[in-house]
Amino acid sequence: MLTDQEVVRHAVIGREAAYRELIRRYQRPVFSLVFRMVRNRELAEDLTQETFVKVLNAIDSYRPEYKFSSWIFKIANNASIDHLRRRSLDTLSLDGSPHAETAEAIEATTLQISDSAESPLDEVANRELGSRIEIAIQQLRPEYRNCILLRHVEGRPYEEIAEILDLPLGTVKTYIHRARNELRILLAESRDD
Amino acid sequence: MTASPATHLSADELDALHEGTPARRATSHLETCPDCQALFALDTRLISVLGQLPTWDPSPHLMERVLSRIERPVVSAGVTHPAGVRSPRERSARRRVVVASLLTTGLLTGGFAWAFLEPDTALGLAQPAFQQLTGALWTGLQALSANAVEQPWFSAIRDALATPARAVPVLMAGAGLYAMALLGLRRLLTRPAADAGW
Repeated sequence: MLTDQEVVRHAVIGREAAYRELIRRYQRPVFSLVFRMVRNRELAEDLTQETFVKVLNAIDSYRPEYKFSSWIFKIANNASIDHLRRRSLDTLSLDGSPHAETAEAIEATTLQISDSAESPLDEVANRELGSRIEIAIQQLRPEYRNCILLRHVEGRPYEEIAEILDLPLGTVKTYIHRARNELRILLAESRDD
Repeated sequence: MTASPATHLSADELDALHEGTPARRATSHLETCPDCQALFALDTRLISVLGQLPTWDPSPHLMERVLSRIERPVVSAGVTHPAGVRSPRERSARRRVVVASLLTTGLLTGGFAWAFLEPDTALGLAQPAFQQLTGALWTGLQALSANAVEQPWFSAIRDALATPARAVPVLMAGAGLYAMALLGLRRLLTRPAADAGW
């Protein structure tokens, strides 16, 4: 399998297959990150599309000494943060936004968290914990939220997260530690409710 | 006896334990401190659940929508397409517009041809409708004029435009303001250019 850098070299000369490969490799992680940041499926689609369009239109400016994943996540994160700064959003619930009025709006703001490959009992247990985690993540500050998502959901190393977010390494570690502390507290509170 | 808070595991030591690269002090402390054991267990579970959270695919149309907005030449199967290769949905929309335009042009041409070939019939149909339309327009214009003349600002505007020496600068100023408003509106509606540089 070609590395990201090799695919990008083909994309720079305009090969459509290279564009498609880059989109195929990164559409799922980028969309998932953006969706968890902005909490609206339709909006996440638009921001994901915007991210890929920016990346592919500026593919000439990509510097191969940096990881391609860092670059695309950086652009995706900036798009999400820009949007969050411009608007205040509804809180997310498993049953959709309280302000959603149509079936489509409810579906767009409902978080689907179950994995259909699990056994029914496991599915119930994991769904319950996963649902608490998802709701707890949404209550984190955006800067904590994107750090914890990049570290523990996307599995990016600390150094790459620092590159993506343009933050010092120490700040990234601090944000992740604080995010984990808050998640532990939020989980304990929701269990007591 | 539990260890004092000052010697509990730090955040970095906890991280190192999760990464599998703990210092000796951290490992030995963890063996003896129930508070840190509980914290480490909770953290481990949290990290495990976070790592198992689902990821989602966007809609299947995302790829085509992205490709249709690429502003660079795209090479596929050895053929270079110009920038902005259109998606199937855009091509189908353009086809519908072309068909509608051709139909409209055809109907208009046919209408003119028929009117040319059958002028009496065409005139018999068109004249009453045309008279009614022009009558209504003329009545409306007369009503508007009568209303405008009675307004308090009418005489001021009439005096301002009374002579060409006055009218020309006023009209030019008006045209300039209109152009500035259009430019301002265009700027407001134009999205900023993408800046994807490092």
